Amino acid sequence: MSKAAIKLHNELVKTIDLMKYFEESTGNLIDYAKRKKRVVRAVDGVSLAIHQFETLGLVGESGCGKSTFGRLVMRLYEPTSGKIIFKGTDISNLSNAKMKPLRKNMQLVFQNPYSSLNPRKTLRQIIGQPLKAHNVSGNRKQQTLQLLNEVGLDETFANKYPHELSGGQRQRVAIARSISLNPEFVILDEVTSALDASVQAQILNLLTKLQDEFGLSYLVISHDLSAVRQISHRIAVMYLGRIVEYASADEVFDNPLHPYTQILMKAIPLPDINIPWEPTILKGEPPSPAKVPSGCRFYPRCPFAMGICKTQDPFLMTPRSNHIVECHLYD
Amino acid sequence: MDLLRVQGLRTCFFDGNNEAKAVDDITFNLGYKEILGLVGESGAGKTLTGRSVIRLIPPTGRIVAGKILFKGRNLLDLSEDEMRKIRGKEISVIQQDPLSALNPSFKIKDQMIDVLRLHLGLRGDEAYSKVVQLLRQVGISDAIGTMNKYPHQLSGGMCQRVMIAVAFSCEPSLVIADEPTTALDVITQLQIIDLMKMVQDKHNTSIIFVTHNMGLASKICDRVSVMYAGKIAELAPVSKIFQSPKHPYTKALLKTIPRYDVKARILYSIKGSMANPAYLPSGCSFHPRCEEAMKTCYDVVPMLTDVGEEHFVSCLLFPECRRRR
Repeated sequence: MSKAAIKLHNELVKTIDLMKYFEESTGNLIDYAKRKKRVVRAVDGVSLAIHQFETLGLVGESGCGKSTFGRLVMRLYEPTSGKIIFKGTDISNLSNAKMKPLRKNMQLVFQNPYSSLNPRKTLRQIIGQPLKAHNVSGNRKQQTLQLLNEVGLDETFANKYPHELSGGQRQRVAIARSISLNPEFVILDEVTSALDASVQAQILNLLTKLQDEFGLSYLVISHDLSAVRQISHRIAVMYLGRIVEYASADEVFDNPLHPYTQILMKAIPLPDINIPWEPTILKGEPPSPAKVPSGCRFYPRCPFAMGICKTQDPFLMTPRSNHIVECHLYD
Repeated sequence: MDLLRVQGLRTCFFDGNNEAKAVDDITFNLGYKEILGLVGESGAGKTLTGRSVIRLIPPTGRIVAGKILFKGRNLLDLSEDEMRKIRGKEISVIQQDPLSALNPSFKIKDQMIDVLRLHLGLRGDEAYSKVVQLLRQVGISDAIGTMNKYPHQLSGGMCQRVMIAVAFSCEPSLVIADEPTTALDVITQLQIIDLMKMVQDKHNTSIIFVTHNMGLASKICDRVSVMYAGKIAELAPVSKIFQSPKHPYTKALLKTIPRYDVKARILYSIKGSMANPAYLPSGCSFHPRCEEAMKTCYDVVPMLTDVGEEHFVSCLLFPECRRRR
């Protein structure tokens, strides 16, 4: 899809300053008696937009809040503050009853196909479940067989159970289930991380095919930059609950601006011995979202940290056109 | 003289009259301070090869043939008691999932002291200070805080550091690292790899590095062995595997890897799926998926043969591989 074409499309999903704070016990008995809790700032002011027919890749380390963000958009978690706009309507405060018809339009595929499929149901029951839950009319058997075909499994699979399938086949079933209600928006949470490279390629190709066929919009959540690059039109890099860089996929990979994005990219070993691997090794663990550093969140680990980084929050900057970055280097 | 020589190793699983050759006639050697990568798709038998070396295979399986010569001794001739003295002391393992490799009901220090007491005979304060020293060595600055925690209180990266500390605690000559970074993200993977290289350098350890991450294998291994359906398809120094791969499987495997520096609209994938070791295809096991398969591939089993300069291939495209040994 050309860049010009993307601009013409409407925003399908948009979040404005979305936040999710969890409260958890500190594990200390005195704090417990005083009802004192620790606040975990999992998602801390994220504004993103997913356009129609577009794939947005959300990348970052484990624990940076990417999955929480995905679940917030689906309203599986209640946002602490901020707005979620789905097709022009604010859904952040809708009741469950009002959410239900909307949920048909948004689906989620999970990372682990071994735990996301009910082991006691046949594939036909698994894929037909959403149709049943939303009372979709028509020949259900015919519909499920067609869905199986869509994801590259033949009719003999309809009466099989998940344990008879390989990881890649299970993930195909999970994808078939997610598109059964003709949604416009699908969230893919680390769908290929558990798979081999060859199977991963098959699944990524399938996702591209389904997007072209049904006009889907994807939010791809992953820590694997190489896989995300292949299917995303735009990329958002997340660090400790905030988006630190946001631009088109080509732009992010050709001109990474944020030091964190650069480090993340250089950390990936390419299967080519002519390209030297000279990664920057970050010391220590990522700081916990329960103890967010002052100023820029990344400054304790940043090789380019300056005095200002410690004290002041960086603003969103656009040093290049359509390329947003949150870093003091570009003030 | 090599540290380890594996000759004609064959590990089978039995189910009634059915026999599944999960590791089938594997021969390789490992020099001192060498890192040998075992790569391939899931189900290729990489993990089982590593586990066969220390004789830790599931009870339904059995090593039916071959020799494992470790420092000249055949490990398959040893009794279970003798084997226990070698495991953890001379050969140790780093598992893929550190959280399930550590015992959830004991503190880190108790699990570490167990190893030190069994193999080095350390007790009390001596063992205690060794634990602190080992944890510091793997980059855990708060060693005393960490050793008093339970595994569930630590992150995946931290647990893997502890596993490395345990694996290297008795200064083994061989470490079998089974996908040590697969469960971790790239930043933590980098820290763990850097750490393993550092500790390896210090103790001159040899490593069998099991992974399906070809990128990682290209950066840290000295030699790479590509496995398919329980057999070695290709074994060569790392530069040869990545610059001039000879086996069609290796070539296909390299093509499937998505790269962040290249954008492809349609990604290449190998057709079909890994052969089931219980129902191996006739001839070369790879022929149903091979793009260069010929008629002979359907009935002749290729032999792993040196096609020049330490480059071993098992493919009938090379006439040398047709000869019987």
